[in-house]
Amino acid sequence: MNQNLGNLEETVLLIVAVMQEEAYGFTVSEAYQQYMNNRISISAVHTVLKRLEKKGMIESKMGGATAERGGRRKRIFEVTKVGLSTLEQIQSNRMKLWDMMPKLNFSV
Amino acid sequence: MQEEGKSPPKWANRFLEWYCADDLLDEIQGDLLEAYHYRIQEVGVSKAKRWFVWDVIKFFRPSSFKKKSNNSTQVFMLKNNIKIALRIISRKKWASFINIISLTLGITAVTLISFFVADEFSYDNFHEKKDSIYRLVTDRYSPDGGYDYTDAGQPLPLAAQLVSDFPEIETATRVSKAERYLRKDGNVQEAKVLFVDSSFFQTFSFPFLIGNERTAMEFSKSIVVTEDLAKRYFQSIDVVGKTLEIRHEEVFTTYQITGVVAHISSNSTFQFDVAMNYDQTSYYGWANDSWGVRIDEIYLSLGNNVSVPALNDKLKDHWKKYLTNAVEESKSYKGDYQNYWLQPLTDVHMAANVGSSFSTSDPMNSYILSGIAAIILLIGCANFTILSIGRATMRGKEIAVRKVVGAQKLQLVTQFWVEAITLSFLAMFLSIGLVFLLLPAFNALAEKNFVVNDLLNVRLLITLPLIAIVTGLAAGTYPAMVLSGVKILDFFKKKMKLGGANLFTKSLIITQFSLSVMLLLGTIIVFQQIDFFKNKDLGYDDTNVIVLENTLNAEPEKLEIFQNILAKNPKIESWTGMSYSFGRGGFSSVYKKPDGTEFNYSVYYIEPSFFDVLGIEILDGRNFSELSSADNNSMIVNEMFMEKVSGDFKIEDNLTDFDNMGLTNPKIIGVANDFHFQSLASKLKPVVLLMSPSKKSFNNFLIKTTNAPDSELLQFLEESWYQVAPESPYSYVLMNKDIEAQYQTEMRWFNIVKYATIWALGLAVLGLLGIVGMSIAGRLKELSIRKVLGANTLHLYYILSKQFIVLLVLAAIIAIPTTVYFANGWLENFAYHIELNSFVFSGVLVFIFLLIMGIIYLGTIRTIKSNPIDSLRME
Repeated sequence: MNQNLGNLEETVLLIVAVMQEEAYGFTVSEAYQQYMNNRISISAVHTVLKRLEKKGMIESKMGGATAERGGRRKRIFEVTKVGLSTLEQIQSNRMKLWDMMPKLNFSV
Repeated sequence: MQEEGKSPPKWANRFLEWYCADDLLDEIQGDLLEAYHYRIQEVGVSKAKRWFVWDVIKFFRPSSFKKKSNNSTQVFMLKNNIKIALRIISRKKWASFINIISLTLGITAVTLISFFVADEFSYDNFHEKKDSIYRLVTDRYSPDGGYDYTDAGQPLPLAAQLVSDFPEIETATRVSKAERYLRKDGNVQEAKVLFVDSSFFQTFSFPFLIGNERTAMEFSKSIVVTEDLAKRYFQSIDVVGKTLEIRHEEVFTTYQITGVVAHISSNSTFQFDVAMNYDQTSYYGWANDSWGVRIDEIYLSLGNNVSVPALNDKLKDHWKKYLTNAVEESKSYKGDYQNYWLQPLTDVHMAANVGSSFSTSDPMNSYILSGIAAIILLIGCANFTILSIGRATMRGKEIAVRKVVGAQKLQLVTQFWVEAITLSFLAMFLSIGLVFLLLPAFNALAEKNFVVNDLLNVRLLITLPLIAIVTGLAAGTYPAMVLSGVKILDFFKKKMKLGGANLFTKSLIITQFSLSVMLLLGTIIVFQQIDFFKNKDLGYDDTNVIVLENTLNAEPEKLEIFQNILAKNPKIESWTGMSYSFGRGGFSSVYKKPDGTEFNYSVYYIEPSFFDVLGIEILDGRNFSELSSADNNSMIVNEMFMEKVSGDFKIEDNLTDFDNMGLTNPKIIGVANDFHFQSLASKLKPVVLLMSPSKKSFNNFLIKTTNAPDSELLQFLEESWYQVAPESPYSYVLMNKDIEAQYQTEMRWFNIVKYATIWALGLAVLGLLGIVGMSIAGRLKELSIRKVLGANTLHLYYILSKQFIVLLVLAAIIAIPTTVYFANGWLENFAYHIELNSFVFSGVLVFIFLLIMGIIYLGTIRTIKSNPIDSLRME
């Protein structure tokens, strides 16, 4: 199964995959900022996560509460098999293209 | 926990908890609080707070809302009601068509007219200081103590005096307007000029694109132009420092542009191309120190916290200090002589009763148009109501079943309302299209310049659905009440008698008929009056007369040369100069007779050829002699003047106690026939014709041609003019067009009433078509039985139309006296008017009668001619 992923969706999916166990709204948005050098609002992250969950790329469970969260629990996201294989598919497709990139030095 | 003052904004947090669904609160609020916690260290408390609020707002979207479970039946019912409404619309196509068209026409009329009214009431609201700007106006009284009139003209020195006398007044700016000729690279065009004091642009908000509102009017030869003018003349707005030539005191003078203001919006009282210093007015030289000449308007900017009533009290008698002559004159007055008072800037546009050179608008126009809009919407709604009631028999089964199943009355009412509102929303979308389609025609009618883009704004998006909802409620209320009140048993026992017309629908039909009759009569009466204006013998002949602006009055010798050229053209019969052409104002004065009585008369400066050009006859006595000095103490008067002088006064007698315009006890050498030099709204007046001492007093120059002037002749005139006087602008108008222009207001009303009539009549016809269809459907069996028993087509037709004819008669009884009342009121505005004609009234009634019969024929013929078996067979 091959679903279309948007640019942002793909990045968020990658982040969730990388972070394991620690991926929830706030941390994903922090990580996005850290690695992509770009700010994204928490509400946008929530939307993307919800969409990915609907597409079956990730699944979620409720995690523990902390004091910083005002006693509120986290919704922790984990990448599913489908999500992982989609990521791998995308990556391998890209690699094929990269391999075809002419390795020539350009000079005058 | 958070330290005091470091916690996120409480209201935002509470807002979040209020809207957010419980099962989402953990993740959303948790994430936001955590983010807030870390952001405090990263970016500081205030930024973190701001971000928190922003995040809360971003989460405010349907996906995070609480799901109101108890609401779902209502939402479901609403959906269901809309679905049923749409089904009924598609099943009853003909009735729905009539309904939607009726409502569309109603909503369109209301929308267009609301544009007009909103625009009228928005005048001058764009000035930032509008609430502290006032115009000084004067109430004037007559010697016997009665109120006479109000006007805004003030003496020139008053503005500066007010500022120094009253600390409450911050600035005063004089404003007046004129048309001036502009020249650039030899191209001459007329432009609207505003004369103002230097504080004008600081008082009023005309934003500067280039230049500065403080310094723009510093020098008397500086001018400020509008963006539009700059683009027209220079193809750029970067024109500060460039020059334009403007005709002042009969010569072109060079002015320097010091500022460019943005396009003047159409809802500004001040409309101008160029703003110039006040000392460039034509009268500044002789009027600047005169307290007796009331010529400019004064706009005052008041300080903060100034009580206007208190200031009015102080201002009221301010004139007594400076107008010594007036104080003297006021002693013979029974009451007040005159009072100053302050009029808010935002009232200026609607102050049609205050004499002013700026164009104002009568609020009555807005009220009358709103009334027409309401009438049209009412007729539209009436159609809907009539048809819904008429269809009740068909809906009866549905209602009864709903009731049996347990529907509450309120639910049924809601259902009918939803049905009506659904229809009116469909109508709304149609009328948006119709509004934009009709906009050009409406602009011409309303003398506005609405543009589609300007109208597509938030206000419209709120107003239109509002109009649709109100329309739907108004149209749906009566059917909703009646239909929801149906008794179940009555229906099943077939006792219900709602079909056809009950008293309510009958009175609605009468209203429709009578409004149609009134509007139709109104249109015809206004048309007749305009026709009367155009065809009445005015006492002079304005055909084939060309009126030129005499811009040569400073150089009479050039006019002489121009006349010599005219003499060589066989197509030109005669020409004459006169102080003002008819219909363009002029001088007037009062003659006190030796016996103490007095009367008002008008004065025209003419030359002997006047009588030839305008075909006015000298009934008695003689014309002036060509030699101007020979008749410098004589005058020619009209019949009415002679009548007023009366007694044993004879031609060539001297008129005693007449001392005016350089004439003392002048000789009356001739009597001319009466002529209507003003619009026919005014009564004939006594006129004095004087031999002009020089051609300088001629503002117009009239040329009579043998045939209707063709383009070749007009070109000849213009070329000859510029050949003689290349420096003086040439402009002409045909006299009959000029005279007709006096009746513009009446022409406009004619058009408005005409369109309203077409609109209303169209709606009434649609409604009638609908109701005829309904009443036939209810009487199908009866008609068939009659047919079987031998009734012929004519007889059936008579039976069906009988009830409508009764309604028409009732409508006529209401409509005719009302029309007579309003028409007489309107006609009284004119000194010369038509008499109401019973022929017109009966003609209109016959027309409406035939129309109704025609519609009934169209609506019934198929049924009447059909085979009775079809409707009688029971299977």
